[in-house]
Amino acid sequence: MNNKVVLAYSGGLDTTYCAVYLQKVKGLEIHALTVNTGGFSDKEIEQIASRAKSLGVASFECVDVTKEYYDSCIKYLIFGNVLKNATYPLSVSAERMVQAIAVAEHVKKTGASYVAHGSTGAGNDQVRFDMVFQSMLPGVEIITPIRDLRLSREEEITFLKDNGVEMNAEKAKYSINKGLWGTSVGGKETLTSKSSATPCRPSNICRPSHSLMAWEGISMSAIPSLASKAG
Amino acid sequence: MGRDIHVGDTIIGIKGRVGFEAAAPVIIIKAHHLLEKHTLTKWQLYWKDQLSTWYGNWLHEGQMLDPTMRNIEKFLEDTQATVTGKAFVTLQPYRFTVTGIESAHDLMSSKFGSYGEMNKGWSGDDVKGFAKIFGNQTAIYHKVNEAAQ
Repeated sequence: MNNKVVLAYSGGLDTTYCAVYLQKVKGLEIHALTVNTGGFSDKEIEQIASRAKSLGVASFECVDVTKEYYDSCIKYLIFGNVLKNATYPLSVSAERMVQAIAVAEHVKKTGASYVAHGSTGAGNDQVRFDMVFQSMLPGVEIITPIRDLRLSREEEITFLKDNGVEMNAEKAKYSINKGLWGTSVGGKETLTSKSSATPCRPSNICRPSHSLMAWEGISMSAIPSLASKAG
Repeated sequence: MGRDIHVGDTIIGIKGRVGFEAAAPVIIIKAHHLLEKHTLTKWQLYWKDQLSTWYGNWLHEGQMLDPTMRNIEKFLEDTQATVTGKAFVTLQPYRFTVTGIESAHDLMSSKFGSYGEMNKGWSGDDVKGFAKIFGNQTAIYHKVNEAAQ
């Protein structure tokens, strides 16, 4: 066993927490890997890279698997006209698989004894990552701090602040996933069965407080940038 | 366009709800599906639906490494041999319409007759015989059970 851990890193709240926690509390050597499935621009990748480095990771890499993602997955979703429950094109489910496989390959390459992901204990991703790692990485220990410590977003923000890392609190309220096959947004509105939760301009989220989602009562045309884009 | 809310069953058994924007995926899928409706047979479409629904659910549940997925991919790939041509899409604010297709493999060819209009490849007698045999078992069922009452 060595003290290397490969962290599936997106630069969001959960994976930032993992990077700091695994280093400072667990004393592990962090090898952060960002898997771009087509959702990140070059500029965003630069930002993710510089943030990772500022957190003191031993290494940071970003792999672009856009083509593999298309060839091994999206292609078949088109062939099959796959819309889950006749609605959802599996934007997140599909890319999470391809990301997990890319992370597993990075673990093999670095020879790390540990692999970490920032999934909470409440969602699908924990099962997806766990199952892929179980199949591809026998003997490698899976570490999941957010799930195991049952952390809330607020607790993560506080811990990071205490360790000198500032997170955009407004943005951290939501879980946003951008990828080649769509963008999803989860957060307070999606936790109810009634609130309108249709992303307003997720493909261009730069000022989340301005218009992350189209709330009930706010028509989309009330947001000038969107109206002009649509018109 | 392509904005909606997905409500579904999570792998861990609870219901989940998520907002999404996926304009390109939704348009691509709808355009592709229309092309398939023209170029595939009834039962090709039927089995594609069955298998791809299962494929999507199993992928959603994290089982991409299950070898059954590779088997279904082969089937799906094989169905695409004649699915080629043009699909026409009109984009409007907040909505789109897939208006039609053009394909050398379009099975809706007027050479063989137009639905509800004109039959060119068969006679009325052909259909009378076909209808008699096609309804044979159901007609037998009703006769037998009327007699038994």
